[in-house]
Amino acid sequence: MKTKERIGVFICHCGTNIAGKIDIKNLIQKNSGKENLFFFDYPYFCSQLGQAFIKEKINQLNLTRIVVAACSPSLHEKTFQKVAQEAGINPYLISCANIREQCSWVTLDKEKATEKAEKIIFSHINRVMYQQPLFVKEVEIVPRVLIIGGGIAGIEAALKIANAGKEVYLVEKEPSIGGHMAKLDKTFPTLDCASCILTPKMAQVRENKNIKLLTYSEVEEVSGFVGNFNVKIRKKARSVNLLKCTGCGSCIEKCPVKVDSEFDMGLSKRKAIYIPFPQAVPNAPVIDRENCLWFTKNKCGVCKKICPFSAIDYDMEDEITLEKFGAIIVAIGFSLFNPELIYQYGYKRFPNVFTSLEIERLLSSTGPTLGEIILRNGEIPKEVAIIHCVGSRDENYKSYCSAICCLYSLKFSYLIKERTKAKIYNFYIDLRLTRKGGEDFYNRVLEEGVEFIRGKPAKIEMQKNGKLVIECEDTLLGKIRKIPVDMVILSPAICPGKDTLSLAKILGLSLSSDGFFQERHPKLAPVSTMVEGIYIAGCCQGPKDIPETVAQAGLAAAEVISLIDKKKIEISPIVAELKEDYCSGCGVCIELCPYNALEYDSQKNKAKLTPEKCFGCGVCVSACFGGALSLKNYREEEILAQIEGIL
Amino acid sequence: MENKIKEKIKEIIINKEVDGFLGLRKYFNYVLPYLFTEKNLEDLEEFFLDEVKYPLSKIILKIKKFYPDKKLGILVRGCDEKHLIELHKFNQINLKELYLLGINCSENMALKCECSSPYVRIANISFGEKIKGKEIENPHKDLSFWMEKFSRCIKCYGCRNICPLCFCNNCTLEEDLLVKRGFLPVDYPLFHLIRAYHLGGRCINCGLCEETCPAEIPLRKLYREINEKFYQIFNYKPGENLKDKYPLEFLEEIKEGHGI
Amino acid sequence: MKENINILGFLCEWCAYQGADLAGTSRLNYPAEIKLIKVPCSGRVSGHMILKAFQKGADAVFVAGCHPGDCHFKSGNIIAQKRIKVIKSILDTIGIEPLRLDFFFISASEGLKFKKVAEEFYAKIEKLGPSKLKKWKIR
Repeated sequence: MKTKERIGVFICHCGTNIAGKIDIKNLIQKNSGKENLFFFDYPYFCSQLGQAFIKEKINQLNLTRIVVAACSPSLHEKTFQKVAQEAGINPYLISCANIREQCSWVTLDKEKATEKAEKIIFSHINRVMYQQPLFVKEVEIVPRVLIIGGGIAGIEAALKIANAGKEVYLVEKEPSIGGHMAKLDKTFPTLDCASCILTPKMAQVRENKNIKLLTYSEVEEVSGFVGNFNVKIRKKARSVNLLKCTGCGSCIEKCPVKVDSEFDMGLSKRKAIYIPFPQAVPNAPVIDRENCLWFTKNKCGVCKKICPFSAIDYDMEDEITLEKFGAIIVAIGFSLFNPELIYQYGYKRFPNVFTSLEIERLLSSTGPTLGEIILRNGEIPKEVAIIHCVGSRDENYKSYCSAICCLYSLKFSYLIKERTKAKIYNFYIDLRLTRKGGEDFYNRVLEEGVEFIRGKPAKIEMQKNGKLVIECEDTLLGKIRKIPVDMVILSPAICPGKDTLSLAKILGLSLSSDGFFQERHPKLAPVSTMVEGIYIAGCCQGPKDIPETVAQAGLAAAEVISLIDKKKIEISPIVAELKEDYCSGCGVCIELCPYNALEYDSQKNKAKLTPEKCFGCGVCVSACFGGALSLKNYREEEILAQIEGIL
Repeated sequence: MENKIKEKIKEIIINKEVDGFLGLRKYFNYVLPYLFTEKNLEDLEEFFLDEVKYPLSKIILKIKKFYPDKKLGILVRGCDEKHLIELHKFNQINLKELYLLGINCSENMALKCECSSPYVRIANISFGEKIKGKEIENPHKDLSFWMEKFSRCIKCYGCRNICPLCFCNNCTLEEDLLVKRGFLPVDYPLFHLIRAYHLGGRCINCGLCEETCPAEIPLRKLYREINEKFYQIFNYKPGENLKDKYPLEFLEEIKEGHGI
Repeated sequence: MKENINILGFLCEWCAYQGADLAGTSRLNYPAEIKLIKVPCSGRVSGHMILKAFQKGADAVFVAGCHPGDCHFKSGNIIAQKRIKVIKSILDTIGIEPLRLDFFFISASEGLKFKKVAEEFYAKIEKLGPSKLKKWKIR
């Protein structure tokens, strides 16, 4: 044991909370006279006077390390660290012994409690001898934010952050921002037009000087840590020069190629050069190089010839940019469950089985049928069935509830009845209408004569005349019913967005068991992730409707603004440390780090640690048999010394 | 058979397949490890395949460290091969850059070593007939038995020094708070259990430790029984192939969902 | 005279330690022979610490961490459980009852559970008796 250290042991009475059970006077008397150990006691060390007492003794006796035996460190460790610092001792050269919550308050017998307290105190004296001085590191935060995903969540967050005066890069994979919300016709329950509330926001994004819009772009690589993320973005070649294009549309008119439109969910055609939808931002076309005759067969080239502004550029190439960001928000949204997997529902086998997003396009006044609900052969349906929970709440596919299907199913019931006067059936398991106005809307729909059948259809069969017969057990009636309809609408489960897995790997994020991004805490930190500085918002975190998405986007924006406003970030010194000389390159630690802070350096044949990414869990340290890794403030020596003292 | 081996070694050195070959040679009355190179080809006459075990894989690691750019060859028995497989898994050596000249052990040797697999599997070339190994004996769960054996330990570190799988640059067994410096008897069973913990799922049962121990502690038996437990818990056997992963270096995988 | 049972517990800072604190604020009692050490994550507990505890006279050791999926550091409790399995098998091999080592899931809000777990574990070890390792008085 090193004897140059002078250790002060401050035992708090905590009124009678400790002193009433533990014989402090006896304990001190028993141990006074030990070399370089100085014992003190006081009624309340956390008080102003108590803290002053500690400082006085440190200065008087030239104490080098201190042990405070009192309440749980969760309460006052920071208090006493500050006291030590003010008295000239490094704040990490103190150790807090918990002799209240874990001793005096839980032990009946006074003698046993005193004995236990003595053991605890000595274990901390042992420990503090091995502790090392540590220093907090400050790093500057890059005042720029990256938002991945240009749907309503990304747009909201971008506007909030840009309006707070921070620079935002909004990266969107598709040629236009807007996401899934741009495809919707009307929203539940107020039935406002989705485009009417979305497009002004999209225009604001375009106009805002603090937002740099990167559409038709993808994030390829991310490295670094909070406040200093290095990101590689690929701007895919649009083949149209955005600075010259005016959006006149002449090129689109003349294009000879027709392809299924992704925006219209395959219900209509678009050209090889196209603007995804009329209100697209930016309002400029993009060339789909996989279907364009120029790029596949070196023919045609009409769009270039006809463009009055010479905006078409066939030689344009993908552009890679490297940028630094202080924080990242992921808002990549959702994808729909593919109902083809449920063979018996006949999706893609029978012509008049549709998914909810396809119906949204039919309902839309700018959609393939200009707002008319018609079957594939152009006829108006007389009977329409809406099947809830297709893929959701199903142990074969997704076990969770997709949160929004009941809401939009009611919406469809109302709108389709209004437009076609058809008889509407809803096949449901439960009705989950948690939104404001939900119950009222439901009553309205009931009044319109929409029928609700509690049961999950077993199968759908098509008759020769094209009628779709739904076989279902009506659980309230207790009978099996076969209901013929003209059109079936499926409400598929809300699944994680297609790029969720690859983006999780790029960013080092974890996924929850249902495949959505994992939030740090389900109640108190729903938009934070385990990676400091990266946030998630919207459906990529879990199925939710538009109001909740907007709320999450706002929360993520607030987190980011508060982070960037700090200008500098303090990195906790309780991180791992790698002694390169001791490392034998065995590689056992690498995969265990949840934050990817450890990499294998194949040049040196050793592990490499990025301490800025380390959160201080110590899993790697206990895996390292060669003692190359250590966790500051929780080094093996410190804990082993503590074990020796406590037994 | 020995002549064939000598010829092969000569061949691979002359045609530059290897710059040096680690084998065994006679030195007066002893047989010791020896590095045959182009410069001492005549010493190949002294090559002798004795029924003696050396930690050749540990020696080749040292040679590789001093001559990182040279191509090396090594004489391997079943145990050496397994050592190399484990060392490769832990990034200590690249098996693909080594020439393995394999020897299938004789019946005598296999019996002496109580080996369960006295033959080579992945060597570039092998000599000798492949024979079956001996079975493992029953565990001995008696604390008194083990403590009596451990009490004889004189902290010579022989077991650690000779084991090819002990490659750490900084050994935990020299940590003062675990194994107190300057005191005998050593803190037992802590010393031996630490070693067992580090070797669990890595030891391939070559028996060098038990042979070396001056106090005749049945170390090999201890590690073998722990390996058996590793197999029961994790379905993992060390030294079998390059693909199997040591159970304590990874976490369970996250499940991926449908419909993506 | 009955020899004292000594039990050492390693509690993770974010869940189990807070749970034990909650047992304290709720004034729930458990045997004084149970002593606790704080670690940042149950994954920080190494085999060396557990083996040293037994060497130094612990009759039993337990590690308490967050419930599966709740680990503050994502997956520390998973690797901790794996390590405990290995150490248990090592103890079993030399004849120390593997029951003397255990892993418990305790969240920050489970003060009562901590008390129950502590008492049950203590009772189990009391029945087993003091660790036979203590017969050999090694320092």
